[in-house]
Amino acid sequence: MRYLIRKTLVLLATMFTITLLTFAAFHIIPGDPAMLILGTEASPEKLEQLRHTLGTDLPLLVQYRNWVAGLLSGNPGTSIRYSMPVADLVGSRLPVTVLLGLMTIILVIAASIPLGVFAARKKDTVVEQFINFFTMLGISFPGFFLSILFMWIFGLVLHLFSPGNYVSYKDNFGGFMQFMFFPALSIAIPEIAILTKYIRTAMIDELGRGYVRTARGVGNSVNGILYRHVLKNAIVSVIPLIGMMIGSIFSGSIIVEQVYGIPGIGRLLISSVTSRDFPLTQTLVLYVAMVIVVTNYIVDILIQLIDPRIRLSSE
Amino acid sequence: MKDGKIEFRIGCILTGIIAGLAVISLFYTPYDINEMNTAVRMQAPSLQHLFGTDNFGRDIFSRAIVGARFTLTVAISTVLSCTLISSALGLISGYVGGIIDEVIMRVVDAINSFPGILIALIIVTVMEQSNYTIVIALCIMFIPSFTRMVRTGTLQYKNTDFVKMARIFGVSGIRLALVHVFPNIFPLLLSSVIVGLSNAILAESSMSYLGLGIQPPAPSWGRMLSEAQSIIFTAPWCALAPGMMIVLTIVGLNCIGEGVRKRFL
Repeated sequence: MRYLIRKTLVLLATMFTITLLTFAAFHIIPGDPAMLILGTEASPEKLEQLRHTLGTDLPLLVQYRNWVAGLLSGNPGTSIRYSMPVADLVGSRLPVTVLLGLMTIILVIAASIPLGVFAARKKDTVVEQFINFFTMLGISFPGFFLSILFMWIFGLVLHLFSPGNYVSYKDNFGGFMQFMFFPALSIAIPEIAILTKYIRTAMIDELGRGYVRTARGVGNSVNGILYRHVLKNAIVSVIPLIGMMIGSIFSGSIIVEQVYGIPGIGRLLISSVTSRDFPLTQTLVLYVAMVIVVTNYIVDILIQLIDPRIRLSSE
Repeated sequence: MKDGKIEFRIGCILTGIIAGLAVISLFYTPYDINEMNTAVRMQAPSLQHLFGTDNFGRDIFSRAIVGARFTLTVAISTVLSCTLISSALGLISGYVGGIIDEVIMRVVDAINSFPGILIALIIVTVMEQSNYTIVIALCIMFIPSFTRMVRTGTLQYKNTDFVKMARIFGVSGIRLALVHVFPNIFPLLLSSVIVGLSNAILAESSMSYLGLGIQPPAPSWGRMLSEAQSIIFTAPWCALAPGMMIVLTIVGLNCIGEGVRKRFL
């Protein structure tokens, strides 16, 4: 319980720092956002008008207070480019990115656990070298290159999906999932490579323990020990990594959404950056950071429930 | 053979080839990188055009090796400046401790809670577009992990006997940190510098792919890929050439990193 309270306090403090940092980045470092949006040759009246709509003519503290108050009441401002409330823009794109992320996580877990166990089992053989080689390759392929390759090979040559023809999840859920499979795979492959490596190391550490020898001695089969005993213990040390992966999966999804033309949060973020739509970028950045912080908080709590030993060692 | 030596050698060869090509591109490219020749549009790789030509008839090999130069320059300057800043921050944080440590670590933690590419996006949004913006963006993106590592290393060596001895002999704090503690962290730092290089290349090419990295007309691998995307079916070599250059560089650097790690740690 004490742990829970402490974690929650740290979470709140981190959230506060994040709002402060985001706000600072968009208000203190650059010159005048109105100038950046309109260019240096804009007329003073126009600049003044835009400053007023953006609210940048108010004192910084008031701006910050207004922004945070807006966030808390679910009204984080209006996008300049779309002239729409930011909340509406985010709302319509959120399910797409969430579904993509979930699919990626499922793919990552479904592939890396068996691969990691397999690699640990084949320790010191040629097979292990092969798996090492493939994990090395997996880390080295940038997501967008992988996506382009997939579009070419699976889309245009093998006709497994039609690139560019995005199917909305509202119209046809099956078609949507089919379309999303390759984007999800493009994000998943580097993560699979990393996770496989970690699971393998954790498994090998665990295989050296006494209980494995005992279990083998009493006549359990190798596979039985691996999946029923060793994996359970090894996975505990890997769960924090899955929490951290949320961030990199989102990073991957920003780029992959761009490649496949998926109308999700990532694409909205990039278009807001390229069109210098400050209110939208600011809110999106904050939103994403919050989601990641909260997910990590939940993962930390879950780890506690699964394995209370970690708390004792960290305190 | 010693542990890690094979990886180290393969890595050195791969990275050496790419770096060599980048250096050669300073003095010589087979064709001008912006020369458009409509007579040879989208030609498959041949002896005249090693990697073929793109939809404007530009020679892809020339563009790819010049792109290597830009991408490597960005990656190296990012990692060097980031290493300098983080070493200073990490040493101060770990060695001085107290409130300074607390402040530095909290800011580092907060930056760390943003996914890497998001930080780069923020910096690119709020700063004037230029070729150096991307270096600053990537630098801020890598500072947290480097600082944390140097700090952990410093804490680890701060209380060892040889440092305590030196302190008894009256060695000043700055000298202790720089001459006695820092060299011990160096091997650890070296392997993360190499991994950092490969991450910087990945990040730079992603940003260039999104059109937010190195600005045209300078070619970069990321933008070559985004330009090639629409013609992937008719001219796949346009995408394969820069893509494979990225992959080979990253594999090379990762191999070196692995070799160094196995050797020293």
